[in-house]
Amino acid sequence: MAIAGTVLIGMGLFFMAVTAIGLIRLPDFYARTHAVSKTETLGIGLLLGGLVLHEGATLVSLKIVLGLLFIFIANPVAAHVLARSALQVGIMPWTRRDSTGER
Amino acid sequence: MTNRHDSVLLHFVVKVVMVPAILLFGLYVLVHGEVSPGGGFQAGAILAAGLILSRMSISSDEGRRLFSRPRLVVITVLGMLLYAGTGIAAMFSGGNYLDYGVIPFEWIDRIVPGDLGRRHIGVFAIEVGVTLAVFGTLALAVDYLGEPHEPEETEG
Repeated sequence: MAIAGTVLIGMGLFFMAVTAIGLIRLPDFYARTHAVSKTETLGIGLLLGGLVLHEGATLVSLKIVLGLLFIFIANPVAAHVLARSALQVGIMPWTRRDSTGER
Repeated sequence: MTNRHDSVLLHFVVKVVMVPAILLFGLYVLVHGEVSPGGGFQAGAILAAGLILSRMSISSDEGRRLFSRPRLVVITVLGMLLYAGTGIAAMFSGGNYLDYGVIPFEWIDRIVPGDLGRRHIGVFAIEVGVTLAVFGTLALAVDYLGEPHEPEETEG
């Protein structure tokens, strides 16, 4: 159980690292939102799942699971709203031609 | 959908999931503050976060009417008075300020019997007071910060 938990936490950390790299490396707002929302939701799910496995069936586990549910609902909705309002405000998605300077 | 910035998904999730969960968690932190991490300040901050979230994401005026500015001021002052009143009530029966053990209310012994009953109720009254004060202050602060302001006229 402890080994499985540690493996899950390791995978979660990997996805969180991917999130951080994507946040720095990707070119525009939409790509960054996309990277952060998906990988971070999965990463935090794996991380907290690993913590639950470490903890066993206790009250603390229940609280972690409740927090997990909350994040699973809140995180995609937040990303959706961010992207939606960015589009309505008029931020244009990045295209390859922008990077060479010619339109 | 009152304007184009309203999202059905956001509306539903905030109304049905987020705000009820946040308010419930705030109350949990409040009543559980003596035996687990939390307490009055945190509970007030969480409750205010729930109110602010609903105000930012739902464009109806329900929340604004229910917690209008005058009412928020009243809530803040009530919280402060509850805190100060609990402390001064102990002074009336010869104890120090906030000396919960000598609070002069007989009815507390009927609710929570035993030596620690008055201390229990006293601490809880303090926490409720802090919660109300923090909730009102934070909600008021965000309310004033969020209003569109006109640029000040420069003199000379």
